[in-house]
Amino acid sequence: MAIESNTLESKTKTIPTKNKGIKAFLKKCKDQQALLWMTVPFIIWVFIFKYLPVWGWTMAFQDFKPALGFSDQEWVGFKHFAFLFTDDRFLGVLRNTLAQSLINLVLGFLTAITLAVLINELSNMKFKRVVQTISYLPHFLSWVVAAALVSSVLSIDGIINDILMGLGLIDDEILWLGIGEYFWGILGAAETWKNVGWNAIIYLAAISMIDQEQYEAAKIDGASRIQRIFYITIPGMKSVIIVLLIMNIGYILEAGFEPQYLLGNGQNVEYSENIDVFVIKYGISMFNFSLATAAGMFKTVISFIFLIAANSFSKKMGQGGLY
Amino acid sequence: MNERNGWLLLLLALLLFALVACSGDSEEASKDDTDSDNTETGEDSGEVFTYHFFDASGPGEDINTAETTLGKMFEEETGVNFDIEHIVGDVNQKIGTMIASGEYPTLLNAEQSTDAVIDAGGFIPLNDLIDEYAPNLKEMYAPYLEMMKRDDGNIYVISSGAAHGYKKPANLNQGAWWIKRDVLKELGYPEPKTLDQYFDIIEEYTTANPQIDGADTIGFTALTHDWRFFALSNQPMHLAGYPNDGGALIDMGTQEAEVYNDKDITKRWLQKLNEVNDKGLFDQESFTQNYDEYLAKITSGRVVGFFDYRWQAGQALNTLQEDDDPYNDYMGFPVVFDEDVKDQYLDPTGFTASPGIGITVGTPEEDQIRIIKFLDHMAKEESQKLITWGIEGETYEVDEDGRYYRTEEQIEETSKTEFRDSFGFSTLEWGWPRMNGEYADGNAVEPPKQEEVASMMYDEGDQEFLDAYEIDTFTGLFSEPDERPWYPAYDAPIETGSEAQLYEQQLDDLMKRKFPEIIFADPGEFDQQWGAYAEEFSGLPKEAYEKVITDFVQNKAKLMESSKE
Repeated sequence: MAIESNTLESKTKTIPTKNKGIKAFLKKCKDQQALLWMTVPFIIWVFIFKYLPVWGWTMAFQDFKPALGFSDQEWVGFKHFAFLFTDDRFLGVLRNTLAQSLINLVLGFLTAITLAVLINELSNMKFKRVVQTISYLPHFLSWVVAAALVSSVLSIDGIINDILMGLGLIDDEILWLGIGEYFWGILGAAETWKNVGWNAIIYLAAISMIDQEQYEAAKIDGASRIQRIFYITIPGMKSVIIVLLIMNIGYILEAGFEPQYLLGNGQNVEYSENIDVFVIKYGISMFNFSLATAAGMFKTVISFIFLIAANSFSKKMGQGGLY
Repeated sequence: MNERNGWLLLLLALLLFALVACSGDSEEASKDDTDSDNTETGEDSGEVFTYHFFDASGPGEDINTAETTLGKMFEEETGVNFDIEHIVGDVNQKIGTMIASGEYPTLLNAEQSTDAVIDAGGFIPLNDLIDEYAPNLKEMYAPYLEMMKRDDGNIYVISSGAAHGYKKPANLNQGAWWIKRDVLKELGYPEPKTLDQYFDIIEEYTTANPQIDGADTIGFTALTHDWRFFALSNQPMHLAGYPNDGGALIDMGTQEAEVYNDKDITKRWLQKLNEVNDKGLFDQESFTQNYDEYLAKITSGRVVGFFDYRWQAGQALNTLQEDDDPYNDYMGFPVVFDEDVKDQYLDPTGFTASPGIGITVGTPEEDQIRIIKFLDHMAKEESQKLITWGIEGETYEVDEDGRYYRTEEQIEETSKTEFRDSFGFSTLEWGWPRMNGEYADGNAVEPPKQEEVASMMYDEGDQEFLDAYEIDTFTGLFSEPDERPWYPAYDAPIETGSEAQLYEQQLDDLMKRKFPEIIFADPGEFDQQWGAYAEEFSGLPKEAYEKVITDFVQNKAKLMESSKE
């Protein structure tokens, strides 16, 4: 394949590109028709799975009833958006979503980068592999199982209370999941435990791309280990970190659904309920598909704004963006 | 075009063909599937038709009805059997997916989502089918046919349990305030009548026995997980002397519905729980434990008392019953607020129109007819006796007066889960067309309600407690239910997207959020917490809900009245 694209490239370069206009374009198309044909399945795929469903957004402006045809639906304008934004709880729900997301983002980045750097510094290969395997294993647990583990660890006779009591740090067992204020922290810790190893993989890949000669040169110049980390490893990962950051900021309203749903209860609902849980309760469970769609649209629009903002900010800072 | 491009195009074409072929394959395969479903073992006369039945009423083993003794008998008579698939996970989500995709099983029990399926046009009307092909079914449900009709005059689902006469159950299946038998024995068999007495017993025992088998004693626990929250929030209704009518109290005279969540009975009950919590008797994990953890806790024997419906705590209580220790079982009491309140824990005779089984849209007419004929066959009295009593000489006997009874061996045999599964009791006894009460010959429909059977079902351990409380059966302490023709009011269909539906969801959220705060509050702050809750409650559209329930109750009572004449 590599040879193929090279020859094509060299061919196109020989064409005088000054001659612009339809003709040149068609000529180019003809020359590259094999490439064009190869993209067709993917364009069809993108269209079917990413653009056709947008048609379903019309549901947000109807009182959608599944049995009726499109023309028989009742149009209600912005009713569902109005319900969403005027509900007393929505602000709280939005706050929870953003807070949970930010905590996940910051914790996720810091821990994954730290872990990747630490693993990279290990010289014993066997130990390195064991650490890496153990740290990414929880990623493959389903949240249903993971949430059961978390809630049993945090229960009144769970291990956390046992340890804290044993150390004399607390006088009484604490019902961790029963205190709303602790929920964000518990969620952040649980997410980190589950995903840190997995997230570190991509940074490890980035580190392995760094030219080894830089390290050697630094060593000769007398740079300490810490200095090598801060002046070579981390700057070497910068571009990957920025790309991931921009992409993740786009998902700022996707704080996740399963852990909040599974660990949430009446006592911590004021901190656990995020947009997705709210949509399940008032949308899907009540068969109010229109409301669920409206909430989904809201999320998409906000995500879009965040993505563009982060991208242009990054460009302004001279770091280059996603596009 | 040069040679290389040609190869690429060929590759691409192959890829596309593969894609098309894949999707085509699956479509054909699924078509084949349904075809073979209907024409399996295609002999002329003995043709057997298999249909897909999705049962959302609860988890269970997925089997074909013909794999059971009873199901095989029915298959021989009607040539129809069903592949049963039980629900796994959340009912609303599963049924919601069916509605959204428009793909239904042939026969469906949608449990609490029945209204939604009807609103979405998922069920076909059964009126004409019943009229033409199902005389037995029509006769069995005759008193209730009008009630089965929806606003549009159509019958969409057939529910289980058409009452013909009332039989007081020997064993409790409904709500009760349970106390561990060990506790009762140690305290000299006290009989709690009021809420205060009930918690006095718990307090006395817990103070004297801070640990049971090495684990901390839990005075009183509560089931609050997910949709089962009503096991907690229904309590004030029962304490005030009402049966389980759901979210509203129905006035016996005016037949008006009134929600009780902001009334004095709720406040009084919460205040008691708050006080109980202050004494350290209320399980701190009541609001964080899930259903499984709750059942495990009861089975562990650490819990002194709890309120629940027998069918809901059944898994735990059955486990305790089946072991050798009669003292780790629980005994249920009809606790009320004050001694002059008449308890109403036993269900009155009632008819529940929903949930039930319905044939879904898109089923070919000849299949509809076969299914309704199968259901009609089940509605024959001889079939009904098969699914409740079994086969004469094998699972029951008849004495010279025509009374049915079971020998001790038969009682033991028919209570074994493996036998119930293989015979078909587990699969066919409930959920299908079924009558309740008494057969025309005076025998009880359900064997445990027949005195001859009930009196033999108790072992020595049971007898000790029956004697101590001077009762014949465990429902002996409970009052007979008053006549409530509308019962149960929670059967009222709540329209999707209506204010009443919104009220239910918002109330549920509010209670789940506020009740823990109120119960766990310092007793000095109780009034303030209650005030905050009542304030928020006043913002909910309760009138819309009350109106829906009142209309339903009055309409159903009227229909009941007219069907009697």
